[in-house]
Amino acid sequence: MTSELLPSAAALHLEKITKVYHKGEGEVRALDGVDLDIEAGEFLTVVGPSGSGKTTFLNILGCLDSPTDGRIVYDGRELRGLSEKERSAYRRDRISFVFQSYNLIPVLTVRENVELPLLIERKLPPREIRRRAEEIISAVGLAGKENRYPRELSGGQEQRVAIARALVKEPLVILADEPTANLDSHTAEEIVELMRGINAQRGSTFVFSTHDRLVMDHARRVVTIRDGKVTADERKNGTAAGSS
Amino acid sequence: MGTLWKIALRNTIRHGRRTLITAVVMMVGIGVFIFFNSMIAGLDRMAVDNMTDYTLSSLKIRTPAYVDDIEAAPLDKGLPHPQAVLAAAAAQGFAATPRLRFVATLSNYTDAIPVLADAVDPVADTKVFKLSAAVRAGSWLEAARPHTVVVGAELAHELGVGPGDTLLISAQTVNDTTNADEYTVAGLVSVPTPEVNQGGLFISLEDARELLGAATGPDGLATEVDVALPRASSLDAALARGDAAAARLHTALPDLRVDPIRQLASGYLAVRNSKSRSAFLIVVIVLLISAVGIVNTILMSVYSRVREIGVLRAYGMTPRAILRLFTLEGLALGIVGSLLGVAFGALVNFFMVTHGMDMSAYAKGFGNLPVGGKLYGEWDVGIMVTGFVFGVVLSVLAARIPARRAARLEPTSALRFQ
Repeated sequence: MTSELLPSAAALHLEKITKVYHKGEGEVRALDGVDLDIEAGEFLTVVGPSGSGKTTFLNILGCLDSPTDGRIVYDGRELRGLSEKERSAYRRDRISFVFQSYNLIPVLTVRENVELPLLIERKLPPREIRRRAEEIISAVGLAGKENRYPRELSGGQEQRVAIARALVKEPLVILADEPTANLDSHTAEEIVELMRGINAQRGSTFVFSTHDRLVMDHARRVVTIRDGKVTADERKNGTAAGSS
Repeated sequence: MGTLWKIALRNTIRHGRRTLITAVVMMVGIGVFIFFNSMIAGLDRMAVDNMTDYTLSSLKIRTPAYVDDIEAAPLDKGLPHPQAVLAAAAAQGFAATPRLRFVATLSNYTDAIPVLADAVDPVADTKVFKLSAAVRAGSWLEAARPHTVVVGAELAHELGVGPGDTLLISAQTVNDTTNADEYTVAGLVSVPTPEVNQGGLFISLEDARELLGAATGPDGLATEVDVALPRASSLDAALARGDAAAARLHTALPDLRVDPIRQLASGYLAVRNSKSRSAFLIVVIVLLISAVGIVNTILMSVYSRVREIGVLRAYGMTPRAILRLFTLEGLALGIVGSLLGVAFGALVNFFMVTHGMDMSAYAKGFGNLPVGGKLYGEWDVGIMVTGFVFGVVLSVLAARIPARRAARLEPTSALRFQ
């Protein structure tokens, strides 16, 4: 890892993050100088119209993509200039994802899907991996369904498995891209409350991109992105966060 | 690696139809490979067996001077003591028979055809050769019926003679004079070796010695002693057994030349080796076609699981691990296809080994090769192992092409893939 240790109080520190895509002879400025600090344990929602840069923002936060310019400091480490292998290692160790379409591995059971991040990480013995997986499966309310395959679950149950998979390795941050978009309102509420509860109990940091009013209502901080810029950063106690 | 195997294997099973289609293509490729090799081995075996049974025998014992001048079939370079040679062969437990080859002219009083005649001991010859069992009309030579001959069926047809007809045979005697006599056709032979059918003339040793003015009696003139060895389980075993027996007999008969079947059939065996190589080439082409199938199957697997690849990459799986994942799928496919191929090849071969295939109808297509009668397949474990290993290695190599494509996928675009 070539990153350096930097002093920062925030779990995630983004500074003048710019992402430019080249399309033909023109260019698209998906993010344009975004500054943001995210504290450990936050329950934050990124909102904005389609094409505003939310997904690019999450991809850069998730080390899936590199910014064209700017600095990103994760847990005191500057991540600029990391190789693909180093970014893979960083994702493996610190970041988890919850996707709109759940994206469970269809040939693996509930338990195996949840164990997957730890198996990729290869740091814990098999017995400990299984213990952690069963504990988190129970926490998301799927005890007894460990040996089911994704095709045997409802959409809400699949998303619970995806959340369990995201939580099992106790990541620094969980990034959720429209996690309720494919769920009915009742199930969506259950899922949001589940994540909110986990956030409160375990102190896990959640960052969502969403259009869902329900998710926004549960968020303690709502960051609005338009045309690649942070146009609003509002905390639920009514005060504006000063980092944008 | 355990997780990768689990995902790879389960995907192979999950997409059963796709796996099955690819595996069937491989099965046919490897099955054909095994069957083809078995057929070639069987053809070789049949050809060498036919040569052994009807023209060459397993071993020939001659004087070195006779072999050096073999085209002329020189009567003055025959074996000095045929009885001693027969005794040496008998001491090793082998059946043996003396023969006398000479150049003769066969005439039906209208046409004359030069042939290479074989004078044989009517009884002992049947212990080494199977000509007596191949008499199609009439009967084999009998000591009690002198002045009879057995003629190749096509030769007899050309001369317009059959059993009971008379032929005039003339030949150069040991004293360099020409002698001729009349003989009755006792029978016609039809065998899988074309040279016997087209030019075979068999006469008893005593009649021939009398015609040629040569020494008669038990130690009379013979140009060669032919030896029969028990049938071996495979052609290679037969060749090895012939070599070993020749070496032993040569020790007992140091002044004579002992040629095993490997030497006697060297011309055919040389053709056989190049034939096996071209057969292998055909099979490589068949298997390359199945490799295209494997590339296609894994590619379909990659495209149907692009988002899954994105998830795995998002959770920190390296491109190298993704490469391994799809290579393992190729390996799993290769193992399934190759196992099916070996089983299919073995099944078809089982019928070829036990029931055989009648080649009589196709014999003409083989020209002058001694092919005819029933063709039986040969078991060759080495070929099965080669087919299996080749199929697996080819699958892994073929899978690398789409696997590399999967490994190169960017996680962001993979996750966006619809």
